Amino acid sequence: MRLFDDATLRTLERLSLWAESVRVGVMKGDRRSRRRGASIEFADYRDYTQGDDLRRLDWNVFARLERPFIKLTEEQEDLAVHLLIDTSASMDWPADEGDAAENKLLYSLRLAGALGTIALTSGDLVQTTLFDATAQSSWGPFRGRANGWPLLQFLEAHYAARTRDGQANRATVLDLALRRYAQRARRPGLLFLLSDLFSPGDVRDGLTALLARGYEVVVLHVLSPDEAAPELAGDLRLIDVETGEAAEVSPDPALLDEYAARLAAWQEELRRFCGPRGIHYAAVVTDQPWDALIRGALRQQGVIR
Amino acid sequence: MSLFAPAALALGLLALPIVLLYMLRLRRREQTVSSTYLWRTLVQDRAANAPWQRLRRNLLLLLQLLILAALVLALARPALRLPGLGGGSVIVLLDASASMLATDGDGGARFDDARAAADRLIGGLSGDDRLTLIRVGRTPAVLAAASADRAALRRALATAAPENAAADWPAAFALAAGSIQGLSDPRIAIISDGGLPEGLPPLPGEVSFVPVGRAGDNLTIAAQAARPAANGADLLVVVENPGPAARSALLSLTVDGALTDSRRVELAAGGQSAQSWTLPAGAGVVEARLEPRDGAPDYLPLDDRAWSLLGADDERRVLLIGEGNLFLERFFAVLPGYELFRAAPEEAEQVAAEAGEPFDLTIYDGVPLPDGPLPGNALIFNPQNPPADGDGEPLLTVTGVLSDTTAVRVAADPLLENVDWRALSLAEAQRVDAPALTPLVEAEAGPLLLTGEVDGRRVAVFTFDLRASDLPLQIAFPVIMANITAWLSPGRVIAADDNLQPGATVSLLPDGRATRAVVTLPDGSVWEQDVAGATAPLLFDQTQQTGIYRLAFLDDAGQSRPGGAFAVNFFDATESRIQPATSLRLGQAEVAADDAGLAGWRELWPWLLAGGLVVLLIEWWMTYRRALRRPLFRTR
Repeated sequence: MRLFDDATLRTLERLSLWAESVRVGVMKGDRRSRRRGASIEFADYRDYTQGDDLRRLDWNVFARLERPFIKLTEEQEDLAVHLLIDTSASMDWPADEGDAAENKLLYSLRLAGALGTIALTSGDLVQTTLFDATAQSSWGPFRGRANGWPLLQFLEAHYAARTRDGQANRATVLDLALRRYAQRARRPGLLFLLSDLFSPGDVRDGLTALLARGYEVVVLHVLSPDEAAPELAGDLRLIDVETGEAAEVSPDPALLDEYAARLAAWQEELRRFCGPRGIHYAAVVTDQPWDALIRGALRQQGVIR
Repeated sequence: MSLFAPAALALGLLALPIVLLYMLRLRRREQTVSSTYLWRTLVQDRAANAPWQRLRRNLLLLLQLLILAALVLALARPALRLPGLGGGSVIVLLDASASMLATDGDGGARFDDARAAADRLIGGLSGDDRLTLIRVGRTPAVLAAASADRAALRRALATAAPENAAADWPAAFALAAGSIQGLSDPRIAIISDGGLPEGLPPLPGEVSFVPVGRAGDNLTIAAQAARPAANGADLLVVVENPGPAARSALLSLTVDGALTDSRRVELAAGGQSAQSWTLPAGAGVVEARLEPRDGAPDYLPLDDRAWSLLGADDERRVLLIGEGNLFLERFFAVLPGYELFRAAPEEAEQVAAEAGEPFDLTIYDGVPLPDGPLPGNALIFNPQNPPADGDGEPLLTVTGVLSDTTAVRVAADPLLENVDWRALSLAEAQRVDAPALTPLVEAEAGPLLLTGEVDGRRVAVFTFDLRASDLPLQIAFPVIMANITAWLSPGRVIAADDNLQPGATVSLLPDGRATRAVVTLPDGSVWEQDVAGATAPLLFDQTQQTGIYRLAFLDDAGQSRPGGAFAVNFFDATESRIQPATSLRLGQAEVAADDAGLAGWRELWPWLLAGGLVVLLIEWWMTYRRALRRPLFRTR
């Protein structure tokens, strides 16, 4: 299964990721830095001070004005882009093949593929990690446009594999997974977390751990339409596909309204947590086109330019 | 509350399968969802008001059981006994007899209570109920027939009033039985104080007795009679105490407006006392009045006074024109109430002029009839032709003599009642031609006795001379003479006997000259009727009041002549017994008084059915409310 067609890929190549706070490129990248560096792009002049690298003295200006000026050029740096995709059982929902377009996992993989492609095209370092409670599979870090195709293959392979594995009980403790990831990080950067956040424990602890390690975090809260507005009726025993836990409910309009209110309150709580901490939070429902998300919501967040 | 079909309650067992089905239905369907994370928090919150949730969950079950209960109860046909009609058709017999005028000491008459009871029945009408209102008076009348219109019924009820007379219950029962024809489940309500006569036929349908009245204290003049005596008149007054306690009363006698005597009478409960007086000659109007003298009440004043007329029948005056007739003179001498005047044919006009008032009856005994119309009613024996020079149409024409006088045809006429003509022997009779008269007795060749009315005068003609027959020697003579005399001079008031009861019809026979009859009622009001040219008796039925009625006639000249008087008294032992009855006996059945008023069964099943329907609608709404707002459940 292909995540993208060629036209979509070309669209993605015109985009680039942008991180506000995460710096320190180890390698020269295609990304303009706020730091003045040694690239060939001219930025400004300043007076020479003792100790400056004489190689960067503008001799032509010195010959004309007999005053030493240091030529400043823009620093080019690369960005470490981390893509964390929750692959727990709850993400593989809706389970029906007919609703595959709204499947949260597929949607998240597509989104990750797009973001990865954008990053690789910009010369950024991309590391993709698929995690659930038991297993964690990573791709990267890799740099360079040429790695775009392998990335997509990796993602596609995972999606095909989960179909083969069936509904294994892939529970996730998101909080734990994020903290573990933060501890292992060798080069913090822009981190995209794609998850439905349906997890025991407080995801906020995990996010705090990531922030502490210097990550700039983007939370893409992925929900399927039947999670955003469930259409249930009758006396039901709801079985959690991930944990197997049951909840007995008799949904009626009042209860469904309450559910909607509860969901909105949860999202608002997350948004209030993220905002002051510089975490980008976007709630996504999978019936919304993923490219529209990239060109719309993420651009608004300043993550994509 | 009663159940007409209690067996239907067994259907209530259907509740068991409903509950069972509901318990099965409440087994929850398993539904896989991506996460129960949000649901669990909801359920935890809802657990706080779990009892209400359980109740709400069971609300549908409760509603279904409620519907079942309503249907089962409706099938069991519960009914409430409510005041009123209880539906269907009701005939109300409203007693309007004299006893309903009793006041029972609270000011209003019993009839007001009866009317209020009837009004309550009308107020209790509902839906298709029909009420027929019959006023049971002297002549029962249907005031409203099978009407559901309360306003019309109340208007009809307002017109009902009691009478000073006994009620004709047999006629009322016949009327009620006739009104019931074709009605389903009819009911009859008798609003009365009792006093129904014995031997009434049973009524079809259910009969209720709504009693009115409380007290039975009454004193009454049960009878009063006067008869002429040798020198004056004898008067007998019977007083009675139909009440429950011994009474003491004062009986006063007034003769021509002057108090003549008062007697104290002691009456045991249900006891009678007869008092008699000898009244002087010339006494006219006698009034007896009974008043309680023991401080106890008398709730029915109607029967406390009675009137008699003495000498009310003025002597009727008869003029005998002829040479003298021993038989006729002897006859009128013994016939009471008649005064005979004799005149020779040539003196006749003079005697009539001297008499002033015209004679009630003129007898022509073998003399020529006057030329022109007769002056009044006439009895003619052995008729002779009037003088030949007369230019008027003669009453009869004598054409010869009959010798074959055997009576061959005798008409069936009241005048000939108890008269045997076969034994009559006649020497001869006049052969007369009288087209205006009707032959009552005829011989082979011609009539022997004719009667008829000519120009407002009654005429009877014996075509033979009494002295030429053995009729005066026979027992038939006084009989036929009494019949004919009574017919020829009937007096002014017919049937004016001493037993005129309120509401009776009195026949008045004006003489030929009267143009207007005037009756002055006991209360002073006046009833008038034009009688000019009338030949039939005048019927006077405005006799509701008790007391003396005086009749006068006006002639062409406007001159008033007294026509006599008659008394109307209320003598009715049944009506005077005003003690309210506690039950009625109709046929073999005893109908007890229903003190609570008429009560009827009102079936409740329509309400239960309606209630069940409403609950059904609520249940439907609750069940499909989600479907109304959202698409139906989607299976995954």
